[in-house]
Amino acid sequence: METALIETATPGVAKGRIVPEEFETIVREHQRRIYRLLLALVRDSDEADNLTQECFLRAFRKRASYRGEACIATWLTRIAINLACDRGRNRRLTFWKRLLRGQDTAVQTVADNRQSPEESLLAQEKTGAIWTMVGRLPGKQRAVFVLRYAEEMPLDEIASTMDLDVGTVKAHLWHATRAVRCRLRRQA
Amino acid sequence: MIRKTADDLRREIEATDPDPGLDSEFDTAVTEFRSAVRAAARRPEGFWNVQRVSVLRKVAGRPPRPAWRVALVWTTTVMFFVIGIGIMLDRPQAAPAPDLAAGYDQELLIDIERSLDREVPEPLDAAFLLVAEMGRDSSTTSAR
Repeated sequence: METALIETATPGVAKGRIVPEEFETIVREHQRRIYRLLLALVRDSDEADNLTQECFLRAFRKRASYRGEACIATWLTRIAINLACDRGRNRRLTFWKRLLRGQDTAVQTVADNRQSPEESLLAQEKTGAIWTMVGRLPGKQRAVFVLRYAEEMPLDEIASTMDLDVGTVKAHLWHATRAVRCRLRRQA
Repeated sequence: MIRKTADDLRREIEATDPDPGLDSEFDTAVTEFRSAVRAAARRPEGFWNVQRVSVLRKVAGRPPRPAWRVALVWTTTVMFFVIGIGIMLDRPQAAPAPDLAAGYDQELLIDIERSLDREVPEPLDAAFLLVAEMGRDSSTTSAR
């Protein structure tokens, strides 16, 4: 019953299985959301692009393990989060890339509706600070924080995506929120 | 002092609303963060097309090589192998290398034999001649 419902809502899935011929539809449907999530997690547009591609590649290779119990969006999100957590190994490379390229321009695109340049600059600084702080959080806390505040996902959905209890999700979120608040207070 | 068990702590955390009275500053910061992420993730349609094509190309893997190319590679390999074997078989047999060790032993034996035949060892030849000369001189003087 549940599988049937998922099928009707998800193109590219039939009988709880991913249809290889229709994989393009799945990519088209989810690539923007996966990219946005990964960008929030890694704060590097090139890396977010690479990880998005890797996410779909991994999804295709492991398509046999998708049984249709969960929504395909949840399944893809889980893969993306795992990839972002695994990426910790290549952090040194990212550090050098950032050093060579200068400050990430992602934050500079925000707050363009500010009234004055000062306000805009302040907003950019604050957003940069919060993003930096999020980047320093441990993997699971970062993922929970991003899913909750950037993706506005409900706690139970975060729990099912990350295969955790709702209580554990709350604990991660509590720690992450406290860390970000402390940082903001210190900055103020 | 009563120590809290892990379960107590867990219950306490679970009971805590993760968003309790978010102060306005944090609320604003989080909203800014969300906007920043969304703005940064906005890309032109071309970007998504390129990404999709790249994913699908990777998914499809490399296209299989045409049969004629595979046949050509195999033929060339086999040809080189046969030519190599032919060259190795055609090479003339090399003459046996002279036994250098045997010649060296022979020379050493001759040297030893010569040394045994000598009255004095070779380095003392000059001294031996001098002594003989001196002996001859003294015998001449005494004869006078």
